[in-house]
Amino acid sequence: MANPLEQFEVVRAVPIEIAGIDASITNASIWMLIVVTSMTLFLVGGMRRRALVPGRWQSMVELSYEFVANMVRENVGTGGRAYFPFVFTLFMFILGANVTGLIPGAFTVTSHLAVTFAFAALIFLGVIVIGFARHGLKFLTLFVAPGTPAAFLALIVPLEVISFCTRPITHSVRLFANMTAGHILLKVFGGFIVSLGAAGGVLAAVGIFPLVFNVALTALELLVAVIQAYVFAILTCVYLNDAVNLSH
Amino acid sequence: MPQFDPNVIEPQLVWLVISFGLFYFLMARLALPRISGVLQERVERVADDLDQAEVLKRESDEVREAREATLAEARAAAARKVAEATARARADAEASLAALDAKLAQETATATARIAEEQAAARREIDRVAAEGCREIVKKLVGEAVAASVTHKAVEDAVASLRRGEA
Repeated sequence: MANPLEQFEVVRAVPIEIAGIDASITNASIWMLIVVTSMTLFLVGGMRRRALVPGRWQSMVELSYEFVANMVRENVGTGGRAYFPFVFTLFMFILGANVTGLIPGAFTVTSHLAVTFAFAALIFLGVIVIGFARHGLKFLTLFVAPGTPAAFLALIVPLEVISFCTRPITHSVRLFANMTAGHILLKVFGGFIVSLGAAGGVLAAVGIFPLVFNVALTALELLVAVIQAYVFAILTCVYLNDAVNLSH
Repeated sequence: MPQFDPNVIEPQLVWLVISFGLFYFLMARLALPRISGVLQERVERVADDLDQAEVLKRESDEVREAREATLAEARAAAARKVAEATARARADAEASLAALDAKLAQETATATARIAEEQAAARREIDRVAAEGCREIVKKLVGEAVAASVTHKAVEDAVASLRRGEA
């Protein structure tokens, strides 16, 4: 049976090294570019007619735009307008990576902690920079929930700081783990189908069960792909809200 | 797990920066302005159309009111004319009926008078013929002429008694 972890292997197609940095073109980088290209084609192509009454494609594009715009407006408020292009790009990139990753044989960009953590760390640092830039040292009151009795401050503040600092970890691991687990499960059951089919006879007939399971699991994984992109984007909005509005 | 292989982190990060940077640029400069432009245009267009519809509605309301006023006026004028014509026609008809009535009454009166006259004349003639006959008969029977006034009186008496018997 094929190793279910093989699908996550990064293979260097064209080794490149610039100024001591390994910038090799790998299957991961190729799939990142595929994601960028396909999502750009989807979003720009849908608007090619700029129709007043949108067709199906244009409706999907407008729906994506309004979905993210509403998400930012509801979670960050009007102060979040400046970050809308970033949240939109982030959501579309992760959605594209999650969904294209489901194509059999594809590499899932978001199944790598390096990628998801890079996003989470960027957001974490961005929140700190925006928070201090907007509120100065008052940003530190984020760790003091209003109405906390003074006696508890010694306990609450370190907890708040810890919970704040673990954000990039939970933020990135949630996406990475969901993608990795789903793909491993698909691969394991795919392996069962092949092994049972190869065994022949009664066992081949039993192979129908993992096949049915895999079909259902593929549908579930498609749902997970969309939901996890949404979760990642909405958490980004929630964290941005802290920086922009200093709310608890 | 291949995810925890430190060798593959660097190229992934490099290409993530490149591809995400490119994607951000494409979104911020190309896709998003286009989408928001179309959405904005639609909002404006819908607002414009609603305004225009409001103006047109007001205009059509005015036109309808004017039309209704004209119609009511025309209807009133028509009703007035019909009433006048009816009254005139009725007066004419009554006048000519009265004239006809009068003429008929006069003709009836004339005719009645003439009938009465003719009747009287006829009766007188009958009386005279009867008296004449009576005188002839008397002359033949008696052989002597009787005065016409006598026979005339006898005939008249006889006729009168006959009439009484009839009545």
